Amino acid sequence: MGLLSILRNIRQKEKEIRLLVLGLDNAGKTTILKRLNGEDINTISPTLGFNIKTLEHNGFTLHVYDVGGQKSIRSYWRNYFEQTDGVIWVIDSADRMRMEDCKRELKALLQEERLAGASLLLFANKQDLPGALADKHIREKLELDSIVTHHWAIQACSAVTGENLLRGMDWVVEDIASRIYSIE
Amino acid sequence: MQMEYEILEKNEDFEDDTCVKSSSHFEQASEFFSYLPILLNSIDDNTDNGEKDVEQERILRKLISLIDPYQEQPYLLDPHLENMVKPIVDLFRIYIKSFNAQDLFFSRNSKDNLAKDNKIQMSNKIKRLFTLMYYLMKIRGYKTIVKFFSHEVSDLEPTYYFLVALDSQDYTGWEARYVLLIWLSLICMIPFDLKTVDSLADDTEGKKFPLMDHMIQLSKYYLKATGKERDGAAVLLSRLLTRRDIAEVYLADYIQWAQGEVKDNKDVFTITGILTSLCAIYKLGQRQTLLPTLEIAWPCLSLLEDNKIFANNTLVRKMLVKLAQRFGLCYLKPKVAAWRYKRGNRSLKDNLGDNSKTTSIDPLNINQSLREVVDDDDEIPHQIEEIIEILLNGLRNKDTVVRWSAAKGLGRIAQRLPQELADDIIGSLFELFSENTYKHNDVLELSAVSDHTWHGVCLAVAELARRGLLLPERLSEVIPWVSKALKFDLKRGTHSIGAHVRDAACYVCWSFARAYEPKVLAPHVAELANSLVVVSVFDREVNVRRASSAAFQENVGRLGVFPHGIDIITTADYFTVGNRVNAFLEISVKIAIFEEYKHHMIDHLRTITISNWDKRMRELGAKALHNLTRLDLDYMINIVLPYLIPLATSPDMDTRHGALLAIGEICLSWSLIKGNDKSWIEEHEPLITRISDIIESLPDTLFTDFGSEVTVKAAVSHIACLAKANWPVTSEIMGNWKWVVRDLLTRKDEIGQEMAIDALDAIIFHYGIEKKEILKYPFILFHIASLLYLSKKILGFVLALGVIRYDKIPECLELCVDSLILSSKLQETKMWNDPETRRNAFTSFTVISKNLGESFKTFCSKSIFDKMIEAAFIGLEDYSVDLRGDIGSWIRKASMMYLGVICPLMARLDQKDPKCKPWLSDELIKKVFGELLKQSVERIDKIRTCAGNILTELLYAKSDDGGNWLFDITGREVLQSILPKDEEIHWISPLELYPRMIKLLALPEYRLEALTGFVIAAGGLTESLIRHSSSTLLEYASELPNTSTPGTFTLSEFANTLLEIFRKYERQDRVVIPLLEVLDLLLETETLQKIDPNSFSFEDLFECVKKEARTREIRKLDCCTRVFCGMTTLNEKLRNRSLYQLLSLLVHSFPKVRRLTADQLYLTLTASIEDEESEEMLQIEDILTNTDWNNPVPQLKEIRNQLYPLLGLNLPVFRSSTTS
Repeated sequence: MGLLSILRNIRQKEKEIRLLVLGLDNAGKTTILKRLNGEDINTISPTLGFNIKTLEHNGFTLHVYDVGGQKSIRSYWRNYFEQTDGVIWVIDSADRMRMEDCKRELKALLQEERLAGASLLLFANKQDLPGALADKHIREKLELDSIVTHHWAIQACSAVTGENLLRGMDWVVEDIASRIYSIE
Repeated sequence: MQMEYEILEKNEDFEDDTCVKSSSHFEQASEFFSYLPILLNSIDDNTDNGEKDVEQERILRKLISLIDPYQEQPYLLDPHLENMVKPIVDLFRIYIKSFNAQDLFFSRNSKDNLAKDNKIQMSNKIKRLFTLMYYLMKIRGYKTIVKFFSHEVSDLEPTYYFLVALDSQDYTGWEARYVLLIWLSLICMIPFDLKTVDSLADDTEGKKFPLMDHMIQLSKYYLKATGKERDGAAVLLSRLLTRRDIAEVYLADYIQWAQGEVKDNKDVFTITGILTSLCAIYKLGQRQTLLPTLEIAWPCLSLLEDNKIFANNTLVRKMLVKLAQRFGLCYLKPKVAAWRYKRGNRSLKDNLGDNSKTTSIDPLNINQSLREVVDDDDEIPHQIEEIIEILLNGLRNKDTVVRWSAAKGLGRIAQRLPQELADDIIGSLFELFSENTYKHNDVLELSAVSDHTWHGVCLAVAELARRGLLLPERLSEVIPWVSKALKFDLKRGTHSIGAHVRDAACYVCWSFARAYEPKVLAPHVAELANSLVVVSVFDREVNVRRASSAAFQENVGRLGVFPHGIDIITTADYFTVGNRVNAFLEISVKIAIFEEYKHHMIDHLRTITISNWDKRMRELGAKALHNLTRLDLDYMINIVLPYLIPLATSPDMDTRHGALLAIGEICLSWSLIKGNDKSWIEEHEPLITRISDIIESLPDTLFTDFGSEVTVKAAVSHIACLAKANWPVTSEIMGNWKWVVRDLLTRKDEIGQEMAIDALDAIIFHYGIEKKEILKYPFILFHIASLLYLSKKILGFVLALGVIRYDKIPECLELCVDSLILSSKLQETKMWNDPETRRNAFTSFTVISKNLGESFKTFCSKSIFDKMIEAAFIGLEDYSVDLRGDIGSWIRKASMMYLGVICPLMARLDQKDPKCKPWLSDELIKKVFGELLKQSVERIDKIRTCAGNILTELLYAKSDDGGNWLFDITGREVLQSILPKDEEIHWISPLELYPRMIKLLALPEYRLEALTGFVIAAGGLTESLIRHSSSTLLEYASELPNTSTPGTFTLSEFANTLLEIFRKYERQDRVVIPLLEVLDLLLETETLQKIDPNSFSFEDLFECVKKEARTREIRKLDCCTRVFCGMTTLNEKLRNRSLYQLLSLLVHSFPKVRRLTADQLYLTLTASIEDEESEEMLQIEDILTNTDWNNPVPQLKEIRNQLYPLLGLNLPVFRSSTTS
């Protein structure tokens, strides 16, 4: 229980980051995760349940939880909130119809006290599709500028092409890393 | 001696490093993955076979042993975890599904699903995989491992029912049960209504459903287990019951049940199981869901009031403190501290430069401003007060784990409190600090405080500080306590306690670095930095020094306001402060160069270290002051010495000791700084006089009382330092000094004697000694007149004779050498013999020779030189043994060391003076080499090493002109080939040494000595020594040529040399017993039998053995018996003579000898006589084997006498027997 062993634990904990990937169904959460992990993305079916992936990024170990986005499942999201350092919210930029849904779910999520202090990365996904909304439009639609409880950033990307995924990940890891840990 | 002592200490400190093996990656990965498939594939292999089972068990152990070393750095396994875990889990799934356990369960339809009958029996193969999985979870933590398990809806029922079907009492299956419980805890995280998954669920029923009923029931059952399953069940329960759908229906019931159990159950396992589950539930669950249950659970906290039997159970107490914390966290809403982002970066690298990295997201798309959420006037529930009370009390608990848990709890709870309430906690902590302190002369006295409390409070302060909850306004209050805690050290009897408090105080300082901005800490920087430096360098404990250095580093890295921070962290890092001697003597000087730290460091040494309870600390402290004097002499003269002088006569023994040492060391350093400039003596006369008077002012009782040796030793090293400083003293004081030194010299303690000699050497060197003093000290005539009663006391004086400078009083030389020679010899009266005295005599020879050096011949006559050399040769023959073993080896070693010094010295002097006949004759040189060679193959490895090193040194010594070898010796080529110059020879390794050295026997010049050495080693006691020396010797002998060609070494010469040894060492068992052993081996291997009888007289050998057989030493008699038996194979005449000897040994007065002889004789006769079936032979065998040789001798004699005719011998004429 000496300082040296306390430090060893603290340092180890600080190297591990827990990320939660959420968003409406068919937003591309699993695809993003598989793309990041270098897996085949041709045969992805709706996530019935959840996935856990452990990735290495800039010296940090990321434990990424990807939970299905179907309406019936959303109420179970909260089972995964504990000790979350960052939330990655994935948006289907081409799904203009459900932007309102998306905004509502996001708002509800940010009310959750166990996510207080977590960094929020928004992936405006599917930019490769025609008719995809640009990030600044999504920012307006989702009223992101009203979010003052979390650090957030929005990044347009495409899981299929892999474009800009890394930028987003860099930001979220950097943002988490740049704060001093105090919440266990 | 001092040096050895320090080296020992260094080793001690280094152990700490070596026990933590650190690697940079999982080194055995490929090995692991080459073994793993064997276990995986074994599942499909249906041929059951015990051999395979053993092999697979071995592989399992191998796999575990590959990962087990990573317990300390488990994250190194991370890159491989997926490949380790996944294939095993895949197998588990197939295996489990193949059982179809739920059908089994449903068909049986038994309510009691825990009944013992009809259980699934797992094969050993699958159990092994579960065991391996358990080890992975143990080493890396189940949370990390379980992430790689599958968690599909379809996994739930099969896995659960499989667990149900396992025999819960099977003691070889607990790993499987634990792994399954953990696995289930993951599966049940699936985001679906679990009721829809349950095949037994009935839509019409209420919200409860059978699967969950069963799972909770099973978990409760395992919660009471005595093994690991208990933890697994707690994890599973917490996962199940914190699901929203399950919590609604089941949570309240469970809490109710748990509370009831906690109240009434007396089983310690059940209690810990339940408490573990509660802690986990209140950690995982959602606050709003849990809040209503808190009221039900609350009584659990008073468990110890109802169940006093657990009051002494550490784990239960820890769990209760933890539970209190979790309750508290449930009552309070989490808050986020905005400062988390403001205060620096987690990576020190960024603060120390390199901050080039920028994010690549368009900055416009980023929002990194947080609005501080204003405290909505949430009411703080009244229970919080009680919880904080529990936690504050936990800080004072006698168990570290409880205090630690309480400290963490306080930190977490305070984080959610409004500022003023959090500040109340800080206030309470200060109260705990001041508990049991009192003011004494305006100084805060800590001697009555509890170290537990201080440790706990420090941890709590650190936890609060780390979270930014210790507001800057409070800092000036807390820093003084922290400074005290950093040096917390309470004397308890002969030792002290408090290392854990100091360590925790370092944690506080470390946390400061994380919580505050530089400007907040600025007013306290000097105090903190100085305290941390002092603790990093001068703490007694390695972990505290390292902790302090880590805290210092954190402050430098994050705040950058510590003066010279970067220089200091590169000097005093984790590794350099690990070694205490290094930290005290080297690192301290490098840091004290900086003005900001210098005086604080010196002050710590003078006020604290010199009074430390540990003598080694005081010694090191004094040495450190010596080194620091160089940096600030004025401070030493004006502040430190005046402070220390009164302490030298302190009533506290430790302080007195420390002060005397420190004053001595500082003064010595002072004089060294001044060198030849003597003006300081006048300049500081009053101070110098005060210092000179110290010894005089020590009360006489200190030198006679119990425990006086500490003071005497301190006084003597004080004197030694002053004498080395050539301190100006009056003859009266000098007389006093000599008296003190002499006092220590007469004490038995050898370390003390060496210290006294050190002092005396300095005194004689700087102040000289008069002849009448030498005579007045009982230096010379001590042994002649008073050896009897002085005994142990003389050995110090023997050393004292060595340090006299005879070039100053040459007239004393011969007298002194004579008395040294006298004391170097074995005394006829055994009780006068003292090996240390003899050893010291040779040590003195060495010192005298070294001191005379170049002028040796000027002051020492050849006859004195001859006498000394002669004595050294006698010393080389010292093989005295007492209870401590071969104590003669000390003397042999000292003699060799002397020869190693005097021979090169004399050889050089002889060369300088070519006209004169050399004092070191060729014959003498040859003898020296012979003796050294003999010692270099002897049985004690230290002696071999000593002899070997001197031998090589002499062999390769060059004369002063550089061209020629210093010693002109015979057989140089052979010696050089055996001992090549550039090769390191491992003298301690018999395996390497003997085959190398056996070639020496080819040199007739050294043959006798070398063979003697070999024989002694071959008959030694250490198994490896005997094996290598005797096998080398036998092999060598068996390969010797039998025919004599001039210039070669033959077998008969070998045998003749053995005979020569026999004669030389007649009746000296030390040599003779090993020699007999060797003879036995030579006869047994039929090596001696090959010798041409004309070139060697076996009769002479026989006579020698016969002589030795007249002994009462059983081991020797045993050897003789075996040699006689061996000799029966030589020739007819010797056979008969040997048999006569053996037959007489058959009636020896010792029964054991009779038995041994009968056995040996039987073995020899049955092996050698060809006609085995003859009538006589059968009779002989019958007599030898069927006689009870323990019977009385007269009775045995009659039986024995039957043997003579049977062996074809005449019955000898017996003299009238005197044996009864």
